[in-house]
Amino acid sequence: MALLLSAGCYSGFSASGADGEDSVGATDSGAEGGESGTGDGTGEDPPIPEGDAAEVGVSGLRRLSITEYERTVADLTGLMPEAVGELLPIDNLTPFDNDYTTQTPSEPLVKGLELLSGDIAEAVVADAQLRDALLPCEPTGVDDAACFEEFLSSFGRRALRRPLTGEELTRYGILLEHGVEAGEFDAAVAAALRMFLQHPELVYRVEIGEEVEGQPGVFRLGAYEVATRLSFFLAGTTPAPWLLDAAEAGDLDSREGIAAAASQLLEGDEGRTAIGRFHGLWLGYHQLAEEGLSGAMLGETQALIERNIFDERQPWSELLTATETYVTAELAEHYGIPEPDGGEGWVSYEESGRGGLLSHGSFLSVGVKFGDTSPTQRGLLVRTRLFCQEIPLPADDLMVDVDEPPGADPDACKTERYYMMNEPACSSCHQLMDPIGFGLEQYDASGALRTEEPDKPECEITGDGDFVGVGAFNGPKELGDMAVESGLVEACASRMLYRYATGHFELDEHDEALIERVLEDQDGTFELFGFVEAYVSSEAFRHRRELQGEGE
Amino acid sequence: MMRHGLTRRRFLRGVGGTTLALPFLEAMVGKAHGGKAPQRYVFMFAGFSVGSNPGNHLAPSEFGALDPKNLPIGMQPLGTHGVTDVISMVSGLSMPSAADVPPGGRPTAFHSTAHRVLATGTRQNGSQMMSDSSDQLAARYLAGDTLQDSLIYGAQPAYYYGEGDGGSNGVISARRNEAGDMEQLPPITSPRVAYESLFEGFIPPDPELAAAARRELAMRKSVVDLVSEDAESLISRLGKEDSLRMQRHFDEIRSLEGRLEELELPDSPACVLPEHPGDDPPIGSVIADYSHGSDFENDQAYSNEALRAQVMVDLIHMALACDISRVASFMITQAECFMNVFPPLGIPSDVHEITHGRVGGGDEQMQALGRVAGWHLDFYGQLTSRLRDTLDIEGNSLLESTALAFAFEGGWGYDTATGSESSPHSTENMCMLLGGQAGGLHADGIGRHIDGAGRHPTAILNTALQAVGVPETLGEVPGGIDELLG
Repeated sequence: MALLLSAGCYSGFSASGADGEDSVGATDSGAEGGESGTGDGTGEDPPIPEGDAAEVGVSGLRRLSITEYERTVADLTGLMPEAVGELLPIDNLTPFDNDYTTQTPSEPLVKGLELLSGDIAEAVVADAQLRDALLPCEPTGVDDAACFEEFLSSFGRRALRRPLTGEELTRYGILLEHGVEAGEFDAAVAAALRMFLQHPELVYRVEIGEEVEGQPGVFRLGAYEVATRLSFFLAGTTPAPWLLDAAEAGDLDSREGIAAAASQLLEGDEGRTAIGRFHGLWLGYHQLAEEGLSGAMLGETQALIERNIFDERQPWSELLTATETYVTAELAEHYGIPEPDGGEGWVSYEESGRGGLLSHGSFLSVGVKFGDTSPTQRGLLVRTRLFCQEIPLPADDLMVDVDEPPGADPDACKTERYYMMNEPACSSCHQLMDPIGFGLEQYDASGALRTEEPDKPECEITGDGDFVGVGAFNGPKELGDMAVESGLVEACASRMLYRYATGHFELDEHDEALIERVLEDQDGTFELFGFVEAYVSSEAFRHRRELQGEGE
Repeated sequence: MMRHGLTRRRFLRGVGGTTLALPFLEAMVGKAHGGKAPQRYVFMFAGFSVGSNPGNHLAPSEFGALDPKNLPIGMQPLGTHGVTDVISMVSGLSMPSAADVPPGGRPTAFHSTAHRVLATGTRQNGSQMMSDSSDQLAARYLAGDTLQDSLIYGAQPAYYYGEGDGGSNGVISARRNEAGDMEQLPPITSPRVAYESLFEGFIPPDPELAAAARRELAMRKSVVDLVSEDAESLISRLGKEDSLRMQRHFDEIRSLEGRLEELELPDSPACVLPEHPGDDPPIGSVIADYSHGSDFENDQAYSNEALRAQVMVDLIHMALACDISRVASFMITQAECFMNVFPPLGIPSDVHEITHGRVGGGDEQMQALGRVAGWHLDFYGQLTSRLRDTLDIEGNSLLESTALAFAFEGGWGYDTATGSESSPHSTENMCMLLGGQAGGLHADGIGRHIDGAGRHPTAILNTALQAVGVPETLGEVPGGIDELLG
């Protein structure tokens, strides 16, 4: 539950309400009933218990984000497409790029997809290796309908994330005519690729399922739909053949089977990439350039995530208290910490005052305004992203211009310019943000240490901060330690991951019930593998809820 | 944006990939329209504030006829293009603002509100436009059987600031659909997408090339037909919310299907196939990327908007000349524009920061503001000039049947949010421009600077719509500026 620090911006905390049911019904379903087709729910499952049904959240038609589309194309064809970001409209960020509630179909989207699919199709068939890898047979001639159908069937299953029906194979088979007309079988292959790569069931994650008896608006997903949920959540891309095979074999009809598949996905390279990307979007550093020093910062954070979360299976909060970091020699010099042996590697922070992810240049690069770090923006980042609190924009009657630098005198020290935390009309909210930011002020927007303001040697930076309601601190290490001790970041981290998984930021009572129950099952600790296993094993993961009109 | 169900066959003759004058069709001229030449409407937008205050270097200090040799910095490109006789500026305009949002007004927060009121004339208190934008209202009356009801273009593809996406700052067109719901219509910012949307049905005259082009077109159409059928079949299988989204996607696919037919262009030397713009320029990174330094003297926050805008102007010109469309909306820069202006202008700042005085302050800042205004108006002047120089089959300038409006996001004056008397977060002292010669506009061949004190900026759009024969006014703003009609 997000805490809205509203008009008064009261600083106290309250534990998120555990208003969800805490039992998990034993409702393992039998084998998948339908053989194919989108939304092939079995229709034979018993109604799920009320408690489980209460955890089923609303979901909607999700379009693949630009990154998901790129990775999907790469996995399907072996070709990493170019210019996807140029030809498709940019994704809205909430901060996640996959929030279906912000997605709007448009002419730029549809036309961009048509162009992209053509570019990709032509590039793939022009590359003998890629083309051969796609074709399950060698055509005997330009009109080899059997081979073409075999290709449609194999590629279509992967592209649409389900087996194609016989009717679909017949309809799509007419594309062979273009190969015949051009005198090249590959022309038909290219036409089919074009079709699949702009097909609505590739572009969108279509979930239909079958309505559960006695639970109006709750639908049991088919196995292929479950496979798709798993794959985009944990691998950031379309299901791999083994996962589709698992769906076909009925392995995803049980919660144990789903959990096993989830574990396999997380343990792959794609899982690490996907979870790394989730962190980048969540904490706001995903836009950093991948080259140079900022690239080293991204590598530093990803290394910590992989070691703590994946290799050592530590609770997520350990990211905030890590005593070592992975740096290049250049980044170590930039930070002023010991250089690693061999050009890059793990080094101890020792007594540098740094510690954990909050010391990384990646995190510290966020929250910049008016050409320098903004204590307000950094405090806002910590409150909203790490603690899932909401701080409202200034009320109209406060007559605030958030585009103007604070303070009348631009030459004054920052502690004077950011006077709002001491101004009676502003302090109720700014006290919650600015003192946090000042506690990070000794680290500039690239994470380098400083003790005075740029070009203002008279303006000493002490790094003293205060997390109102929790305690005083100095620097990112102490903030990280304090955040962990507060016990609040675990719940926020799990909530953020759930938002990313479900593709919508706003949570309702169903979502909250699921999150609370899963966290309780984990004794309040957010450990990625444990959380994921509990979540994907829930009935909520293999069901969807549809809005039923007023009152929902 | 295209309609469904095309009524006109499409054809084009020319040489693939090269610029070539094409023959003209009689169907494109007056006789096909009951003796009245088709009317055309263009709306252009710049996403920053610049006021009519003398120090802003945009509006002339005197009212009356524009003197092309004595224009403020911001308007000088209009003199360069020789169009000050067919463009007028109205200054001193104001849009109301209050916490209890008045009709035709905005809330006290400035950014992300004013541009939507400007475009629609309807009060704003949310993130969406609540009534038809001027281009969509115009399209309803002017589109006729053209292939594209309206062109919706932009040149700035990204927001460039922080980790946000700008929300709906990059959208300035909207319409109410047949179901009664408002649709926000984002612009095409990719030159390649824009070009190919217009000319994808082009068949070159060379017989061999033509055969290949026809084969490709047929293939693409059959592919999209399949996609369209599948999208349509999905609609009825989805829940209510999802089906609405898929319906919109399907509508756009249907529009695409309609364009994938042989393109017919008028038999006119004015109708010319532009050169293909090639691959799009890369999208610029956000500003204040400290890993690359905080200065602007690189390509951050810039996606070659100058090139993108140039291509869009070329395409709008040719779409009007070839009667592919009669209506265009062109959002050159997004509202609250953070585009880096060092690459196009050599000013080390972004547009938004210039409005807030962070390039030196004083007149240095204001001159920079004027130059940024001029950079935008250069495209406006260029399009106006080219339309004037383009003749239809009866020998009339296209400008005689066109109205082109230009709006800035805000003016310079009182900020209802802060109480500041001199703020760019203001919709006081706004300037709008109206060009063209449709419906009596500039009938005397004199462009003027007109005092619009006390008038709403959207009134200029009402006048433009009136000039091209649209019998409605926008949203909650009644009437126009009669002085513009001579």
